[in-house]
Amino acid sequence: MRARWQTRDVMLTVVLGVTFGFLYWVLVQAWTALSVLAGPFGDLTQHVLLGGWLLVAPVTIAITRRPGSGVVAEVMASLVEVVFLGSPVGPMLLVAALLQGVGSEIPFALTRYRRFGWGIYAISGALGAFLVFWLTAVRAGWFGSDLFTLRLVLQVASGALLGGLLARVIVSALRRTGVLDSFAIVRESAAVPARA
Amino acid sequence: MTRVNPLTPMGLLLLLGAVVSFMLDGGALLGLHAWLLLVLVLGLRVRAGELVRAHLLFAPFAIGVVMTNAVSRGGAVIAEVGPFEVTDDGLRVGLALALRVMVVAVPAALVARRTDPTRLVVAMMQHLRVRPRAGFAVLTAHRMLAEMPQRWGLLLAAGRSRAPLDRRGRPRLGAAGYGRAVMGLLVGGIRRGNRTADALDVRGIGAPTRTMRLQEPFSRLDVAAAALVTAGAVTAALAVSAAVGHL
Repeated sequence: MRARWQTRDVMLTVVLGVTFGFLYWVLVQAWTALSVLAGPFGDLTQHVLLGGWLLVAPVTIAITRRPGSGVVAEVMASLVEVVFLGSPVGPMLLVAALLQGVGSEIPFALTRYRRFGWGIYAISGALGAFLVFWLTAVRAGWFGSDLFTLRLVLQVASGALLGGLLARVIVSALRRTGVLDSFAIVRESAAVPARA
Repeated sequence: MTRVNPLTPMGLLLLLGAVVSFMLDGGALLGLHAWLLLVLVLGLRVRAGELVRAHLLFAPFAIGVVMTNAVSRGGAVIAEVGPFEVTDDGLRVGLALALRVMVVAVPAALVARRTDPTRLVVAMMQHLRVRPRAGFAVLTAHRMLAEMPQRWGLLLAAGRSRAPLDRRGRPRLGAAGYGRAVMGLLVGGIRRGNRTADALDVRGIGAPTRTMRLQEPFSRLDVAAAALVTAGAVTAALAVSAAVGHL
């Protein structure tokens, strides 16, 4: 049904993955300082920023509209963090990224990559955070801990806000710059006549 | 490192990360870490200074993990710090989790620093069926990544030169300034990506059949190295765990 991936789509997915990988790393630096300052609650401050890690998937999907692009970009970003910049989580971050990417992509896949409203972005971010929460919970042994529910709520809210709605803001800002003119996001909206 | 296929250490690291995710036994983690340090020093010729720096890099994260876990879990109270109760269970789990961070992160960071990206991508194309288009895209992106800290610094500097000054006469960039720098980084990256994609297309990168000059075969040395590292890791973990008892 859809044309195969253009080389530009491949490049864009990888470039976004790498750029966000770098930005995530900048975020980690800020957040490590924050978590040391917050002392015993250091772990919790992470959850507030967690959504930021989900950004790249919805941004990439919205621009290329190719199935799987969000997962690939998210995994690329984590690869950058693990392999080139060094992340304290190590290679398991790749698995976490895979879950995040899949979670973020499901809502767009269900609408067959046709609807890109605020709601879809928010669900995408929340679902990404929700899926990866369980992996982290198992790994860090959060079950039975006092803060279990608080952790879940904080992470999902952060996912919806920073990993979903912020993605839409970024996409429309990028679109206004004109760099996306050769991608599906601009082509498709130009090809489809406006419907009432 | 130059004699083994770059996929061998990568595979071992992934295996390590997966196995360690289900370990909470402090003794076993200690044994494992000691063995991995030995492998890094003897096998990769990592010097002591670099080893220490790699540990320091992840220390803040590890300390945060210990502190949060020590006060947020059940168990016998062993100390009270202000409003928080430090429990024995919490401290034990926190220390094990912090050790886990070191076990996973230190070897990963050091191995990554010694891996040649071109060899790794070539090996991925030959053994993991990564398509050339994707492989070369990744290599291009890797070069972009190398310049990215510099570009980021440049964008921030440009932002500061236009930013209003605060009372002490220093430029105040603010969140909006950082936002603009992020946009600059993204737009510049996408433009370069588009140009590179066109260049790759012109060179026929998506062609159905391609030949490769570089070769990255697996050899007996890969098998031997993987077997030795794995066997040593299992032995060290079990031995130390048994010696100190189940921590």
